[in-house]
Amino acid sequence: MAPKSNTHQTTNTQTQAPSTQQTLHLLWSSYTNQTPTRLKFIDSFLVFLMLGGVLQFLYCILVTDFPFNAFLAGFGSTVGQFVLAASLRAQVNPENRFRGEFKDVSPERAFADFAFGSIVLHFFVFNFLG
Amino acid sequence: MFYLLPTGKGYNLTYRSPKDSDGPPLIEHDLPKFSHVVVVGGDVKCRFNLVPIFQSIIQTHLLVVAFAKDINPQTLVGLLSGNTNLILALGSKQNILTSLAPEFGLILPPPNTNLVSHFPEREDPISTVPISPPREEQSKIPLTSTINAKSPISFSGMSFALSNNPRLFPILSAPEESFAGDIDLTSNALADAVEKGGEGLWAGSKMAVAAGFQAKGGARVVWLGGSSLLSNRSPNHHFANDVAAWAFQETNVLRIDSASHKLVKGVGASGNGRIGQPQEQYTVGDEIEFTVRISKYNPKFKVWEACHSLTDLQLEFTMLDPHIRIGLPPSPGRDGKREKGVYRTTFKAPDRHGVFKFIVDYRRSGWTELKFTETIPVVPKRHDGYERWLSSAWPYYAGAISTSVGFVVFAAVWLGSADERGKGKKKAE
Repeated sequence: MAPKSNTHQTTNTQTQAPSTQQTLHLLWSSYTNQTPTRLKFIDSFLVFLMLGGVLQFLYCILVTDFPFNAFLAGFGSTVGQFVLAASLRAQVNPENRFRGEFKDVSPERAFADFAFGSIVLHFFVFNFLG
Repeated sequence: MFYLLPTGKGYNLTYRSPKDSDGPPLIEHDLPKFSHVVVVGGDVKCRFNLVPIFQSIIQTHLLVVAFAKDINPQTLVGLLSGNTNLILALGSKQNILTSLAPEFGLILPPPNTNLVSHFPEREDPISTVPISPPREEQSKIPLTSTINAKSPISFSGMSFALSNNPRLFPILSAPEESFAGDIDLTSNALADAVEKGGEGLWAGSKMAVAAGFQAKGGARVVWLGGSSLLSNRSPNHHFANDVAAWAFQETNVLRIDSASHKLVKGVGASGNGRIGQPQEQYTVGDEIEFTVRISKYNPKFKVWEACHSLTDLQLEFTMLDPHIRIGLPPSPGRDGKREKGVYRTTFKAPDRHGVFKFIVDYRRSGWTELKFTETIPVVPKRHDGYERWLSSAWPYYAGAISTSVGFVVFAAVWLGSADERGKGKKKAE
């Protein structure tokens, strides 16, 4: 994440502000250029799940947590799916595969684990939902 | 002069003389011998040395003028707990009744005082006070024939104040301008009272000359300020009849014939109760209908008639405290049929499980106390009795479904792209 440097901006506006923007821009361009498409695809799924979880949490706080089991199921499904998708991302990331700790895990195996975990998760979620 | 009481109503009278201790005992083997007892604490001057005692085939009452050994406060209270009705007429002399009266919440003026009034101007002595009966709607007991007679009751005797005992109520109040005083020294008493700014003067319509008292068991007691109220001269005999009719449980007598409850809406006992049937237990949130039938005794025809006139009946649904207390109005009729004497209401069982009671507890001065209690358990919903798929939870359902759909789409796209890559790889090889 980019550091927030608002306090410095007041003293050093001319030098600091472009550099923050530049840093962000650099971060974004390196992400778009260097990340494989499949990881980007997982990332977009993660963002989608996070938004879903945030919306449900806001609804719970601002409107109602009744019935509470439905909240737990709905929120838990997004969180669980997020965790599973994140671990899938870790396992199929080429950097981890060739140098990291997931050398022995093939992407197919990782996806199978992910799919199996997700199906079990959704089974519990829908049992708990109504 | 005296002792008319309900003649011709089938009462069998037994009289006992004042000092006759050989007469029939009031209580024998711990059971009251008479249904009704009239005790007249008359003056010794009284012309009667005979004492009339009333006895009837169905009901019995006893009239005593003075006091034999077995007539004492304990016996009289014992009679009350045995549901014997009493009419007690005070004399102006001290006797056992004057010492018993405070136990009933009567506050007697100093001894040897009579009710005195100088108004209206009349030929009678000032201690014979004309008292007009109360208006019908103000009277706690039916004084129909007294009111219809349209002439004032002539009273001589003592008046008394009433404490705030809820079981005690005035039947006949003293006139506003009357006061309690020694007949011979009236002017002095008045003058003294005036000097003290009215303190110590017993005066005004807060005092009563006749009062009713309802004992816990339902027995009725009438306290009279003097035996003149039982005189057989008109219009006092109308009053005597009205009061005796009330005291002897003829008028203002109610009873609950039946009470029932049934399920109107909901699941009832163990989740499968049939609508319209009484349940042995109800479930939280059930709609319950409660019906009670009330009758009133008609002394004229000696029958019980449906009573449709109570407007302030209430039903309580109680577990320690009333969780629900609602009016139980007379039924306006059902299916085009009139339902006389039926009181009905519908309510929703509270969201609280436990052992509840239906309670109808009707206590009004001058009326029989009505009491009905039935215990009924209210159980929580069964595990599958709760509503599912509530509208307030649709964001959660949407969240869960969107996650699942997202997973399916993700998996499909992932596998699709893997296929293409695989093909690409194979082609490259």
